[in-house]
Amino acid sequence: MRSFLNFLLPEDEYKRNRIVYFIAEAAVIQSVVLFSLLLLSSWFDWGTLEGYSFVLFSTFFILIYTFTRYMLSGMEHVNVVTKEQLSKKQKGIVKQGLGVGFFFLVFMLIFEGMPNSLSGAIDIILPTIFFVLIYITFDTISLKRSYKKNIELLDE
Amino acid sequence: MNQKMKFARMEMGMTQEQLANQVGATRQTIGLIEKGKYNPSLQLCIAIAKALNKTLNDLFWEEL
Repeated sequence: MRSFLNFLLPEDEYKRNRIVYFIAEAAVIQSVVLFSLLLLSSWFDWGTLEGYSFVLFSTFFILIYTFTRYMLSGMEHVNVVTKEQLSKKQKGIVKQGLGVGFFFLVFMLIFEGMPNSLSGAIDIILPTIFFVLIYITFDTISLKRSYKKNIELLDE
Repeated sequence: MNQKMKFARMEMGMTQEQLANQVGATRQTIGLIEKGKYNPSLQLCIAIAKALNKTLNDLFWEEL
């Protein structure tokens, strides 16, 4: 099927189908939530909701929902079926997390500038540590779920 | 459960991963098809049948 989404989707058809479903689910939920907010804001006289909040919600909701469903579906790490592969992949995730964390730190330094006080340094280091921990945690959850699913399906 | 496909693959001496590589899918997808948890597209069915030297009937037709 021809779609501009094709370049974002994986080659494997099962993965493609599932991801398209996740995006569609996110779009439906988002429409319902936005419409409900619109109705509620007029019924309860909340005044006009800020356009900025709508845009922020709309932008990130689909991304976060799709990513979370993908992560929990256990289809990211399709080739991990032994304990050795699991442990090797886990080490890889930690290394990757640290690497991505380094780029995050550089990014923060470019935008925030070099800190000239302890609190300034903490403002840069803490978000970086938090980012690395979240990255590693999410990827580890995805790995564990993939491993479990792969074991269930392995029948040679 | 698609036992026919699993047996045909084993008959060919192929692993799930080898079949997956040959048809442009992942091992997980092959496992899901063999467990009857995913209905593949006709395109993938044909690719699997060709890879296993079988017809679509041999692999996917169920007698009523």
